[in-house]
Amino acid sequence: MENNFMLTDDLLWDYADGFLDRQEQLRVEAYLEQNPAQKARLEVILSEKQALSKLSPEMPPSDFSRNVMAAWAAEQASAVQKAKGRDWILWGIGLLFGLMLIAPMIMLFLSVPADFSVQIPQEYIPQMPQFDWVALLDSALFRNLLLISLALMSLKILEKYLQVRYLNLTTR
Amino acid sequence: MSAAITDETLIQQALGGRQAAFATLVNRYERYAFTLALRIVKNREDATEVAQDAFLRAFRYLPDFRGEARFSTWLYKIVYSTALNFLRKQNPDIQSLDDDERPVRLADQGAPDASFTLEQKDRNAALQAAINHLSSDDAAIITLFYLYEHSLEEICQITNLTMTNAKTKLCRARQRLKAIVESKFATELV
Repeated sequence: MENNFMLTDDLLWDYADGFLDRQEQLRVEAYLEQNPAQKARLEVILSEKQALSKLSPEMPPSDFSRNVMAAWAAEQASAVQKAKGRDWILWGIGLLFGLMLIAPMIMLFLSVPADFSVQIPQEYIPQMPQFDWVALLDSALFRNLLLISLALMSLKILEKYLQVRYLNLTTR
Repeated sequence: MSAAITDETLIQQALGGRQAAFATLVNRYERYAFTLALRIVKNREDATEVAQDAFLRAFRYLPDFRGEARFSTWLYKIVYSTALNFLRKQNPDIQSLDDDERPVRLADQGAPDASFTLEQKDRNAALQAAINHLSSDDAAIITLFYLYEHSLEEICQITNLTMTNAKTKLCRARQRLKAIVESKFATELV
């Protein structure tokens, strides 16, 4: 062992904490083998180190966890509200862009003068078919079809009435 | 059993919107987060506020957690910075918790270690009290290294210190702790 080797308390702590490299560790171990007093000192240090690591962590207030979760829930709810606010902004922007697209078309229609007319040749204008409503009402076919339709509708209503009545009777 | 669920699984579940996963993470780390906050701010009410704020910040930024470090390391980093910000707000003059200027009274190397002679229960109480007497910086580094058994690399991630600085700080914190135990508690407990 070198004569100038000094085993200080700090060096022993560094040894106990595992801060020394392999070469330094070997030097310390060799020194300890020859110096029982220092070896006893290392035991003290290891005991102190163990005592420090065995200390119990402090206990927070009993409602700590509940308060954290309540605060977190409140924060998330607030974030959702903000997101909703942002949604409205997005909708507003979309609406604005929509209006910007539609507005020119509206302006185009509105800018057409009221007396604007185009002369279309008569042969290109389609002729509306003429329908004789009086003749239709007077026809026997129409009257019979109307009677049959009314009879079918009446039967359908009667069927519905009987269904409801039957259901009411069975559920009593 | 929630104890069997890993932090990674809980984080995935929390990111999927499962509130129970957030609650399990709080239950799992509340004592450690609170203790670290208490070591720094030195007051239970303030520590509660700091730890709660830290959990909310952690949940807010959970999508940014990439799993490069342990979740506990990431959480304690948030607790540490939240506590420092809290102290700075309380006292804007505070620039750093560094109290390396404070002298360290070294114990006599040959003298028997007073704390060694204490009964286990008394020794724990004395150690707890002595840690409370340490500065915020010293108490935090002692707590992280010895109580939480974080490596020096993890402590560097939490405190933004270099390896050399962290090692030096730990050594000085240990010396100050020993000095406090011997001067304040040994005589009354031996």
